[in-house]
Amino acid sequence: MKKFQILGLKNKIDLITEEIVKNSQIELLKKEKINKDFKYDQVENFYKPYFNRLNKIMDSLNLDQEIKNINFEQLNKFSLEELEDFINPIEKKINKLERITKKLDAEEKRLNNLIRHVYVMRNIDIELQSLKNLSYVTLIFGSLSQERYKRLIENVTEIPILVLKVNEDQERVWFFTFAKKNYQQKALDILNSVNFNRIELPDRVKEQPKDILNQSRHRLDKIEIIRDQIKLEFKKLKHRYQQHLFEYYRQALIFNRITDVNNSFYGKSDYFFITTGWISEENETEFEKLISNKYPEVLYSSQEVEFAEEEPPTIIENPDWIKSFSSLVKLYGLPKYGEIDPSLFFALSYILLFGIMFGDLGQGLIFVLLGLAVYKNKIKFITDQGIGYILISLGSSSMLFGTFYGSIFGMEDLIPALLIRPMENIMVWLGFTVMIGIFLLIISMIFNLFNSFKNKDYKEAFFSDSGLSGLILYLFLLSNLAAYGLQNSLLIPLPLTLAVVIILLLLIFFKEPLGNLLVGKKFSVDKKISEYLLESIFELFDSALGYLSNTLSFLRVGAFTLNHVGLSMAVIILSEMVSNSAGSLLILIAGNIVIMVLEGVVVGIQILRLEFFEIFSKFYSGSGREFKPLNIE
Amino acid sequence: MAALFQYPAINAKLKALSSKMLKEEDFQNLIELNSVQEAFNYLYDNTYYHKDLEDISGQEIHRRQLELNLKKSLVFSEDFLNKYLSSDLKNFVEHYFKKFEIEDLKIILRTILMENEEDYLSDNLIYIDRNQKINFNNLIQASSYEEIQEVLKELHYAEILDEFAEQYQQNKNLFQIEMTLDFHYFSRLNDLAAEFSNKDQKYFNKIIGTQIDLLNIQWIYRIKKYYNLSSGEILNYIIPFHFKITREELRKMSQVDNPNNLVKQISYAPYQRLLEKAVEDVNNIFERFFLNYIFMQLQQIKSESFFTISNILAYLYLREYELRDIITIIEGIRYSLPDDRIKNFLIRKEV
Repeated sequence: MKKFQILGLKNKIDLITEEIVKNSQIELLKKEKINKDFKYDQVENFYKPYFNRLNKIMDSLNLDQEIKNINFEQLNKFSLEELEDFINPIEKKINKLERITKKLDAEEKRLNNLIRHVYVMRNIDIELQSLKNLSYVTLIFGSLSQERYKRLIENVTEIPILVLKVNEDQERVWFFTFAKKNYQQKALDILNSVNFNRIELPDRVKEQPKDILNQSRHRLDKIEIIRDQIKLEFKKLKHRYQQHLFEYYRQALIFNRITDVNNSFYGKSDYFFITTGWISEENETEFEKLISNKYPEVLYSSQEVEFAEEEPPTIIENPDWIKSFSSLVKLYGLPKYGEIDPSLFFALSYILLFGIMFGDLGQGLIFVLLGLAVYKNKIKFITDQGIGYILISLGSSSMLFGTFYGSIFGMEDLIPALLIRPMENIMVWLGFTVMIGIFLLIISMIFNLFNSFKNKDYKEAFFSDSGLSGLILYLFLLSNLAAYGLQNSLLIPLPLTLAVVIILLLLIFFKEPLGNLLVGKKFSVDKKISEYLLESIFELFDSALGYLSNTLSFLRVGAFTLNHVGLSMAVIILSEMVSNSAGSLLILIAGNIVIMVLEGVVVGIQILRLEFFEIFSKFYSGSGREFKPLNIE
Repeated sequence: MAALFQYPAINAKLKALSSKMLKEEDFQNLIELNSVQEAFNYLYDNTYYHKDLEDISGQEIHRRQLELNLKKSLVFSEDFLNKYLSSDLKNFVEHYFKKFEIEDLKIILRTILMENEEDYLSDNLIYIDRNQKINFNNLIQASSYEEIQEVLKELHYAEILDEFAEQYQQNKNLFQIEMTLDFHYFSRLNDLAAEFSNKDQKYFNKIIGTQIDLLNIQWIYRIKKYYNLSSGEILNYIIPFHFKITREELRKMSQVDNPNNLVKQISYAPYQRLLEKAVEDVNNIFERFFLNYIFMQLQQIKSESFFTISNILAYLYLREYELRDIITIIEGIRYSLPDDRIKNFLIRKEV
């Protein structure tokens, strides 16, 4: 990862941004501290309104805005006038259609409201018109939300008006209001203060309520017909302009994005622009060549950045099935630049441990099937395909170990065990899982060595408790233990053994000053000596204990294998206690489901714990930041 | 029982944070400063606002920019509060902060539809840009009621905007929309508080109930003084909750002819005294009396109970009032008011 800087004349700014966006593997930095003559001025983005308008048109016409695979070919800059000329007529047509739709909506609402009012009076045979022109009383039709209606009734005690509910549903109330003529305005004021929705009687009605109802219903039918016609109009528009729309949209999108990028990532002076960012080394050679060939007057410079000064972002690339495990790794943190991405290791060890702890041919098969269903989008509420990958890989591993143990749906006597029956060889099995733990711990210490050497952090590499000294100490202790267990004697005489152990511990104890010595400084510590000693003593104590506890922690792997068998036995005993076979089958099925859910979750969490606590703490800082290249979206 | 687990962590944290709040002495020092830049330096060097001001340090400081950063610091406290709260309290606090969103929305409506002052929006909105459901850029570029509606359509008060759309086109009046927004805010807050335990409700009423009471009194007083609305209309507009005022009193208050007679309709003595004093005040800064009253209540409440919501509410209100005072001082400095006059505008100044 290299940090680069581009300096150029302002008239090239768009072209350079275009190259950067097109490359789509370059990250620009916001507001880097640069020469103070450069300011982060904002240029007005003329494309934005057009882009938004085009977007809206596409929305109205139901056209998909596919952004993913936009090509940058033939970006002949069209003039904004040309764009305006294209958009304007379409916009006008759409607006007109939308206005009509709105009017229809309003009319429909009005008719429905009217129907609700008139419906109450359907059996009265007077002409409604006469109600409108009473000489002493005003009649107001209207509707309100339930809550506001309640408030109105509570508060309307002062003025001589009468409010009569004629109809209601869950949300609204329809009512008549009678008021004396000289209180008409007061009545309207108070109705307005609860924002009532006035419904006017149609002007020309002369008929009786029954006729009005018929007429209104007839008009509602007509509205439906007009709606269909409008739909057709939209289809026509879409058909006619589709191709051009896409083309203009593409260009507006690109130019809009370019201007946005210019505004947020570039420093500008009177004649020049400047920008900085991160680029990967393999990408750089080509990009630099392209810039220097195409734009000889633009300056491109780059440098490797000292890791301590600034943290470069990390590119995280993994195949799909690992990516799903990566999301678990991300819970802990992203790899720092130059640090091994532990995703692959994490995925493999997770799958292995899950199989060991949850070995069952039948239940594994169900996990696999579930995973396949998720993968093929058969399960609606889980859309993340990653979960499919996880289930499939965990299930397969579980199936494999299920055949090793001879276990299918918790039953141990149906198929022969290929390798071992853990329940019958408990101590051997627990020992074996601790061995796996030791193996994983050693690997993670080796990772730590690799990381520290790569980052030239020699203090960590040589003297830390998970560096070289720690690794040798750990291996030395283990081999002595093994020798003592097997042959009842140590590898080398006891005094020598003790001497080796103490020397290694001392190396770890003096990690700080020894590290300083390595990089050419004095044998000293930055902190107060007393403070350092106290801290180191505790740390040493902690790491010595850590070797033991981290190793023994892997006992849980074996314990859960046994636990699985134990739970299954309980289910089988329960099912055998039921006399009829249907009932015992039912218990068997229910028990298996419980085991799968309960144990599946517990095992999943326990492994996560092992990975994060025992393994990651040895080599993985997880303090990185993801590389976010600029692209068109 | 639940309260035993719900509150101690957050309340301990709030205790610690409260201890960092500005002391009387800080306010005195601030008042004595002579320029906005000095005020900035004081806040930056001596108070917990340091981190909120970091991004504008080293520049020439403008009053608006400074105020915006200060106000935003208040809004940011939502994030850390959320980390400590259980889900129902989280809902409540989340809604509590909506008042800033509603204030923002009012600014948006007024600015875009009435005044249209450039850059005013981006300098004055403090909360609404935190909402993921809206496109902030499109919002401040909007130029008509429809466009605002369009941008805000995902928000829960979009309904209110829709409801008043037609009416707005007719009378170009925002009054009703603003009243309805407030009304909805307090109704929802009340609904959420209805789920609280008795003790929590007691404090909710003591603080937010008092605020609603005082808001209503202030409202009715203003309407009586400057407008001519009928009793029914007044009752329809005010916030329909009450704490130490009864519904009957509100009704009677809505019917008085002379605003100075309002006092006679209130039976709760502290309100009576407060209103009397406020009416007599020569400066006519009505609001300060009420805010001061709540401020004094808060000083008591904040150390009363460790196992209720009281600390959270008191903290939020006190932070807000502290901020308002700081801003008052900054504005006072900016317009070179004498120190004594600035002091008279502060919420914490006893009435």
